Amino acid sequence: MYPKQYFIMLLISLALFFLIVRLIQKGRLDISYCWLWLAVGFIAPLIVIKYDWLLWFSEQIDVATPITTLFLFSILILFLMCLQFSIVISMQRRQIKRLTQQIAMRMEE
Amino acid sequence: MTVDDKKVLVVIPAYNEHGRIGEIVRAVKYVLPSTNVLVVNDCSSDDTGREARKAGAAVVSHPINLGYGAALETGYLYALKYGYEFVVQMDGDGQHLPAEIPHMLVPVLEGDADIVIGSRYLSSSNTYKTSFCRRAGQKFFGMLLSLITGYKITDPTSGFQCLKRDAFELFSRGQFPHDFPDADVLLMAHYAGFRVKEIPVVMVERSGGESMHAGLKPLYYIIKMTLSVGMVILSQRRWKQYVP
Repeated sequence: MYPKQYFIMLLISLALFFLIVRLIQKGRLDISYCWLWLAVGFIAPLIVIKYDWLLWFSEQIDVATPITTLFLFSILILFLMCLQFSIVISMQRRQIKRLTQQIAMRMEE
Repeated sequence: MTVDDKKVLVVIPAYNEHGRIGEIVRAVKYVLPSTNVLVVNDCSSDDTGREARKAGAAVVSHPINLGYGAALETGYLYALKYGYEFVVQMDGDGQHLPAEIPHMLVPVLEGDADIVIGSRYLSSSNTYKTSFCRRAGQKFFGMLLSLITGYKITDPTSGFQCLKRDAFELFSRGQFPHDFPDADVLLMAHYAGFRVKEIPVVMVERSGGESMHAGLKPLYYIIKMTLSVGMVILSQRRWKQYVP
């Protein structure tokens, strides 16, 4: 990795990590729903610092270029995030439905 | 009727049925004078709630629109809360005739069934017309249900039903679909050990308003219902373990 590239990537990944931590601190991101974000925020700077690890891992799974490994895992993580959000939305939909029904019945009394 | 009318609750889910709902409530009250009628107003933007109340129904109004299935579920919750033994559910658009309610109640009162479905396709005097797409869906799910349950179901999409307390208790446990509760809930009920019976009823064309099966919704309905029926089949063990 070139020094400029290394510096920019490190800066972006660290900024992402601190943004996630700050959002949790401020209570704008619930810790129950952000474990994947935290994992990304932790792994991104780690990959920049320990680029060799990415090369080694790519070799282990027979991927020719490390960028492909990154894309593959990025898509996988995004997929998992979407799945997690779908689970949360489904759960909240059920809760909202029941809450609305209870409110409606109380209003009728 | 051999049952105390006060044990029966007629549930009518309604969304923007102003101009029709009052007449339907009065017709139900005419057929069953001492039976309570509940209109679940699913956040209508018109005067549905007021009109129903004026006609003599109890009205529960959702502060937000939840869908047809959720409105029915509210009716079941209300019936459970106030100790009703039977629920008759019918649409608020005038398709279902209140005069049929006493016939619907007979099989549940005599202990022949736990859920009675009013089928428009069993009645020879029916003039009810439906679109090709919707009829194909009804036939497909009817055949599928008949195959699985072993008894003939001709009208799985009929919203004109009569349920015993144990059955609507099952449906009010949070798993009831919020949009189209049809073949999937009948299958759920079958696996939970409830006896489902169809009887012929006359249905007429809706007297106005917009159908929930309008536009491209039949396509969505078929896909969603196929998935939903598949899921009920996969989780049949859970329904078989149901204890009222």
